[in-house]
Amino acid sequence: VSTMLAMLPPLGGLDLSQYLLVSGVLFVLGLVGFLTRRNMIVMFLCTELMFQAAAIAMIAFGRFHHDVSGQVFVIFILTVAAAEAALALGLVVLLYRRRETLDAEAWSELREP
Amino acid sequence: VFVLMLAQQAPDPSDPAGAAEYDRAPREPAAAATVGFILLALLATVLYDGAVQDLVPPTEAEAKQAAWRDLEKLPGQLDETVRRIEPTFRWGEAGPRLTVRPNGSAEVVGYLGDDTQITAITLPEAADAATGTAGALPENLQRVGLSLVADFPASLELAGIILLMAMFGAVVLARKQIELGEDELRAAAGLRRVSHYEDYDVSSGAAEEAEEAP
Repeated sequence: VSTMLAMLPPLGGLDLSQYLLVSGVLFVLGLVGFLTRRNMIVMFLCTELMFQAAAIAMIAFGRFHHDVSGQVFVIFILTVAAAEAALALGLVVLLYRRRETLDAEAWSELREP
Repeated sequence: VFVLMLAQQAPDPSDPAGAAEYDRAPREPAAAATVGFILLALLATVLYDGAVQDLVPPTEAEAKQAAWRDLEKLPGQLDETVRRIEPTFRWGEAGPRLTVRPNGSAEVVGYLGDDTQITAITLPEAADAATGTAGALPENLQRVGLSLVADFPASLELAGIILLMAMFGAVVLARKQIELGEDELRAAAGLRRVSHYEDYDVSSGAAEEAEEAP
């Protein structure tokens, strides 16, 4: 399998900008979801979507430049995403216990007037 | 991520609308969609009119040179690879050493079998199924692992510390405070409860008294 992968042209015959476009669309979807949804868990899933968009962009660039640093950085992204998931889920549990709802608007008195 | 999706509350079947109110009513949908479209337009402009189109990938020879230099950093694997290609190979006085050529090929110098004559062997890049020879270029996974520990050791340590801190933080955030009364503490320590005498297990008490009897 590895030899077959090595025979493939870099980026699987596609253009770098096509990968970046997919990554950009994913990122914008995550951003719009984060801005519009009110469920805290869904907002959190949207941040994960943005993480994955960044990961796709890094892998595409790394493959384009024949450099493995992109993949190494994706490993770090996954690490930070895991840490962030653990913390944010703990926070969501805490906030849910206080107000008995997942609605982010329940905490809107924390905003600046 | 899938754990998070499972953590999502199931919709209440008795509710005719299906989902909770905050799941049905979005917040500022028009403004968010506008922001999204503007950002997407900016990204597309950069992609198709800007710097991305001017990027030049390295040539194939440069890419192969980089891969060979990764193999050069792994003398043990270099030795193993050469022996897989030429089982009778012995290294010269300089030890395992790889010479990378500008055209992207690489060769090693040493003795074959019982020869006293120094031979140079050009390493094959990819495996050849027809002749059954194995490829010598390090695979992607090997290069990623090498880069992880050789180029970014501090980041690797930092990632470990971040994970540890996140574990502590999650435990501290999500723990539940339980107030234990005097009786619960006594019960946990295996002592008899002070109050609520009707909770006391009569059968076990009777068994203890029976053991004490001679």
